[in-house]
Amino acid sequence: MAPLALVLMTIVQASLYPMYRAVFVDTAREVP
Amino acid sequence: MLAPFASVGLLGACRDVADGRMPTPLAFAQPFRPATARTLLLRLGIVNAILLLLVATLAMLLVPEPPGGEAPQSLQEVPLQSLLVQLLLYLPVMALMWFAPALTGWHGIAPAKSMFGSVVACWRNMGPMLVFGVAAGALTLGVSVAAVMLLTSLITSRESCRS
Repeated sequence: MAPLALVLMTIVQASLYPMYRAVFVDTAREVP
Repeated sequence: MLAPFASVGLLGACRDVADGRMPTPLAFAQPFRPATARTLLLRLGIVNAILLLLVATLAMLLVPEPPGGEAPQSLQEVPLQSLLVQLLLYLPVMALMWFAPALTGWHGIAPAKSMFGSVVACWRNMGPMLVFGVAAGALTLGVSVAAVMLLTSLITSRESCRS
């Protein structure tokens, strides 16, 4: 079960990057 | 304590993929290189470890584990109340730590400020974060239950073949 948990955790953690971009990078670009 | 380093490393690998570069395991060494970011990330890791210890202690005080401490053998034996309490207590820590490693590791923001920024970002994006949380929970639960069922049926069929 440990490898499966690692894969799932990696998927959840990797989704942080698009979130970070959407919140801190893309939003900052939209502000005039 | 090293969780923020792992988080920034994985984020670096994701950034490489997004930029069309091949990610390498060296991405996980990147957060350790700049001395200032390393110190700040270590401080964030210490705060994270203390908060996790607090959550675990509080959860144990609120819902003590039954004597024996054996692993649950069926779904009915899973201590749902204890898991729910742990999840509820862990949610604020999650909000504090969600964006904090990226803000500290990439922008050199102090741990307290980055944790504050993370909570504000989570709060302002409450709807999408809730949808993400439910989707991630459903994925984790669904895959775990499917894997347990598959393993159980494999073990049962093997035992029936032997007898």
